[in-house]
Amino acid sequence: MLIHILKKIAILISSLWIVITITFFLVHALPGDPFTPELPLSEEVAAAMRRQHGLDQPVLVQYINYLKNLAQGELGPSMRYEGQTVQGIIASSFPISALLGMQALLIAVTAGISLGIVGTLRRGGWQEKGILLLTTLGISLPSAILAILLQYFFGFKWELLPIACWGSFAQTLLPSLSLAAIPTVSIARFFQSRLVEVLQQDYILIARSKGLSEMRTLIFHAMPNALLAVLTYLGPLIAHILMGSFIVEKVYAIPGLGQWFVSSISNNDYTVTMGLTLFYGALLMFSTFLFDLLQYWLDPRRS
Amino acid sequence: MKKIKIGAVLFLLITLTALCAPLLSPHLYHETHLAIKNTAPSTLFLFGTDELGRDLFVRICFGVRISLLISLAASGIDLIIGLTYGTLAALSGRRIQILLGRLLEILATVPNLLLATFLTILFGCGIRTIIIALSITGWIGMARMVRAHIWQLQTEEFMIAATSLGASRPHLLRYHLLPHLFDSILVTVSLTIPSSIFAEAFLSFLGLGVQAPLASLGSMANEGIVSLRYYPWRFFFPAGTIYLLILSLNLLADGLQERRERC
Amino acid sequence: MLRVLDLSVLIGQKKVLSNINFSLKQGEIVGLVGKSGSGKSSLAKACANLLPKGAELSGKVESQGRIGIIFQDPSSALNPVLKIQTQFLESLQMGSPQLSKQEKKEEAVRLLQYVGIVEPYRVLSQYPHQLSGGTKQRILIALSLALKPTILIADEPTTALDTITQAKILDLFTKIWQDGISILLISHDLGVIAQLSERLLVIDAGKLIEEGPLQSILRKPQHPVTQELISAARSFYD
Repeated sequence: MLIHILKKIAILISSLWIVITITFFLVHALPGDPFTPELPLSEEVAAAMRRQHGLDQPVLVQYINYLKNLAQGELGPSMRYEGQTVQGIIASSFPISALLGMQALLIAVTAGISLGIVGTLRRGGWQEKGILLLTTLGISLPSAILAILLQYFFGFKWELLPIACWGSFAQTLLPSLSLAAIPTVSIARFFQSRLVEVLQQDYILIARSKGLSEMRTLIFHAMPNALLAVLTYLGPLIAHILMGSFIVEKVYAIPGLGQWFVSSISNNDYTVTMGLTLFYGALLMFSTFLFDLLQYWLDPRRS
Repeated sequence: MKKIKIGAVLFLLITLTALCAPLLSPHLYHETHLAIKNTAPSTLFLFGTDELGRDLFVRICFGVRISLLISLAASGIDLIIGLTYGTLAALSGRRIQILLGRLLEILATVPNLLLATFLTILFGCGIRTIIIALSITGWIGMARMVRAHIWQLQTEEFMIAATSLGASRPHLLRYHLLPHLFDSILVTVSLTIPSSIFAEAFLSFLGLGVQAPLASLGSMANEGIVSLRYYPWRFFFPAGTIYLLILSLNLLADGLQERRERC
Repeated sequence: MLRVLDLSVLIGQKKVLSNINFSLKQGEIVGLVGKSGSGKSSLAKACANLLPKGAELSGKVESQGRIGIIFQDPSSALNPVLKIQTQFLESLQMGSPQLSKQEKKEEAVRLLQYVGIVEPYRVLSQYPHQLSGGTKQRILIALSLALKPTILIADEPTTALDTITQAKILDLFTKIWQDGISILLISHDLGVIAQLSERLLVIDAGKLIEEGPLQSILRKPQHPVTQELISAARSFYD
């Protein structure tokens, strides 16, 4: 088991390193540098800024300095906003995005599993058909489009829920729902098919022959086996939620990290863009790693 | 079977309309009528007009073409690179196998969409950059699938039988492996295309999509967001088309997957 | 004992069993033989009251005491995420609810030893995938015995096992029968059944086509299917 963990850590570190190196060299492969014509700077000021940011040094030296800074958690200063550092931006805005993401994940997992259970228990009935239809239609709907749809109907047309900013619980509803939709239907589909598979196994019959009620059999024998499979699914879903948060935060004007990322793109704030790309990349890879590990630990067959 | 039919029909419907309708429509793609800008859908303008008075229906038809161009190109490149890499990784000598395999595992953990976004940010947004950015990360899934599938097929009896009868490597590859791989490849490709459409829409919503005067479905939808309150059709028609395209392809992919499992 | 009266079972559109009539007396071993798809498993499940939800039953199944059941594939009959001990505690809850947890553990050890498992304490703390097919099948038998059944239904208990283990399992069944438990032994292999049963039931396409003492059927089979089954077994065991 330990060997497996070490292997996975090695892969994680290699991937991280590859991403860090690629982003660095890609940015430096661009003609010019961040301080050329787009910013309204005079030539002397631009030269001074280059010196200050160490951009006049040979590339390899810059790379080493970059890695050193990264190791200390320094991702550089924002180029548009005086006095703001990337790590500072992350520290202040990420908690909001994290909250949004976790709320969406929670909704997705509970709703998805519940739908899966209902679909299994009522096989052949209208519930199952309805859920199947819902999941088929839902899985193709990008969270960005759903976000705007919900904003239009619940906000503009029917004026039921708030559609911007962050603070009250009501304000979290539409954004979380937009993000949670695809994960919910994915989980529902996947969980249901696994549950049906599991229920056809002989050990379910044996459990019933021991006198266990249908409910007990479902909860103690079927669910643990099916839930284990859902765990693998969660890694990619988190990636989906994270990426979706960029646009959802933009649509609902939520002051999270995603908003910063999107605006840094239009602002040409390269340090922020690069820093946040790295942050998100590392976050995603790390969470996939964690879920892998979690599943490995929980499944008796693997260890 | 039903799914394949519905998906295929829907997809063909949209594609054919996109290809033929502009030929039949009285409106031109770039024809602007500033006097009638931002009008709601009517019999004259099926989908309404945009902020420059251009017919939205025709624009969407062209948008479909561009979105499909991008996704088909990206998926095609993914197919070629992925198939090659996967085959090599599965069939080469021991050391190369391990090397390629490790590399694949590491690359697979890199978040696709994020990297594609980053590449587009850096190298500017044009059709070519977007296609390249999408392909650079997309081939990994195909490579993994191909590698795993070939490994699995190698242990199947018909392969062992053919080898023991003296079949050579290229012969094995062409007449025995590829036909079996075909089904899986078909399913994977039918999944990469909608995900490329999705990715292109994603990039557009970030402002990184195709630039004017060209318009993809994603960029049109993105422009429509601003005027959502007053001219909702400018968002809903492009967005709806994106949705239907993705839906039809997903249905197709699902149906193909189910049919494959049944054999 | 077990009495099946005019049992017919409909699953979906298919009539899986038609007008089955037989009884299993106290202390008997009865063999049920038939080809694949003849309805053997459905009959086993019907007797144990384990038919799937959509099944329609007509007729009656009467039984006294608890019924234990064993299936063909020991790998899928044990829950992969639960330790053997946990699975025992569940069965013992049914069969001997008055015992404390510690007492249940000891009873589990005793049962494992009864079925011939050499290191019962170790096995209890293991997971199914760590054990061999023969061991798993023995565990399943022990689990069914933990219910304190009067009847044991064994549906193809040896089909997934190699011949040597097969023989040992059959010896175990003999032991169980000698200790007073009635057994309904089901198999497609007449050779397996012939070693143990006193009476024989032959099933084909959901109907009981022949019934009687083992030896007389073997000597003078009436039905062509029975003759088929006998010659198939004979050619192997002669």
